[in-house]
Amino acid sequence: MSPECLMLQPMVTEIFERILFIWAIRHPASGYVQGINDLVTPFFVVYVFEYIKEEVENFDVSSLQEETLRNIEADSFWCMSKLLDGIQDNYTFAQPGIQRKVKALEELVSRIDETVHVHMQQYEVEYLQFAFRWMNNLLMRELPLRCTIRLWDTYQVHTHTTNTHVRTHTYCARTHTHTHARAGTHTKHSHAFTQIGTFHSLSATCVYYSPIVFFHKTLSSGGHQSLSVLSSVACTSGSLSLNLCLSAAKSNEPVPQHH
Amino acid sequence: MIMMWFCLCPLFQVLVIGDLGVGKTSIIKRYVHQTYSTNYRATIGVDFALKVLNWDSETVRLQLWDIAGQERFGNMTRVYYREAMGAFIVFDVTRPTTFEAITKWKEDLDSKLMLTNRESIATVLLANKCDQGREVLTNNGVKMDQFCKDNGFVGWFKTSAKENTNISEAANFLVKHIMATENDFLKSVVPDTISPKLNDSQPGTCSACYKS
Repeated sequence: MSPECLMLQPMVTEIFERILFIWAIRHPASGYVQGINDLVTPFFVVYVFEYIKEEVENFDVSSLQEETLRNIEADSFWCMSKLLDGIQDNYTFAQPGIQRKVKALEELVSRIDETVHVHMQQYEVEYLQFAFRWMNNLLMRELPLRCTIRLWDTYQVHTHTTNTHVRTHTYCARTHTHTHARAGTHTKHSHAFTQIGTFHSLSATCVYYSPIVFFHKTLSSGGHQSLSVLSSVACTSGSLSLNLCLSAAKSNEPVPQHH
Repeated sequence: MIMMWFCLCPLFQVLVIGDLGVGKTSIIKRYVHQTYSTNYRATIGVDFALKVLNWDSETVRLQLWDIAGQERFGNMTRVYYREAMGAFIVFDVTRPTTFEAITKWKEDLDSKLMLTNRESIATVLLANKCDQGREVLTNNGVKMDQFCKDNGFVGWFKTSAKENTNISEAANFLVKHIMATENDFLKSVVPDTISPKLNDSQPGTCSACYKS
């Protein structure tokens, strides 16, 4: 059961085209930047899931009623717009928002996991080379879709809490990363980090950092409010709340896999 | 054991650049994984692929840097170009604007990266999607040869990722040129940068501070 298959249906492509086109002309400072399409997907999937009773693979989006489809489209558009309101500088010239977040990630890793940080410095791996996409697509490409949806849900649910959660996340990430760092030291003398295969395990390591940074940044940049609004938009739009919908995708928790 | 073997054979970093949708990722997928898909998925930032080649009874590794084509990402090319030994610049034969963008990509590359002999790195031009039967631009081979000469490309190929045309030929051609330049100048450098060294054996001090 993977909701990814929905995205290839022609009807869905048309809906996305309209959403992204309208958003792009309403935001001339950034326009459409590749990857923004990924930020519509979780909302769209959550809204469409309400109507899926069978296996996702067998579901034909065009079988839905015209009005239902229009509502899903509008809901997805407004949720995505709200989300982007807080992170527009990710997509304007030179993408300062992303640069800043990648820098924050680097700073965070250097502080809480020096081994990993030094290792990357030693092999001249720049954080921008692997973390850029995480920030540009809000982790949409790095995890299975249902896991990403689950993760996004957490960002939103936890907006009312304070730094305790940031700390918890940090602690979590730290534990995971220590395991990875230890695995990393075995390959230290093999230039492994300059080899392609290792970029994958490297990503796996740092996936656990980026949510923290994103979460932290959202809190500190006033995103707090916009995310609350987003949650309420989701709740009042006539569909299920994000939370409830997401429980439909509960079967796979984003449990970290160690190799 | 495997890791040790990996260390011994040369690794060349090769950039693949060009406007969006010209087929950079498809070319790499075809070359490295022998697959092709019509589903377009934009590259964000940079992707990597590794190709191991047998070259004159020696093993050579190509680390292919698949760089996003959209203009918004263009600001980061400096981060990606570092240490590259060769490059493919790709355009789409069915879209003239992608051909016009070639010089822009070449200038970007040359301004941010050069070999220690102040030469630019070996760059091959790829005229992709030649299976579409609309290659008006590349019909005149003499003109294309002249274009390459004028713009500092070591050569050009009509390619098709879809039908696997000329891709390994182009790669072999590029490797040949990289090997030729590698013998003389091992490392590429980023212009306008200095490398600070801790143990520089610079004698004495500034004359203004210590007059004795």
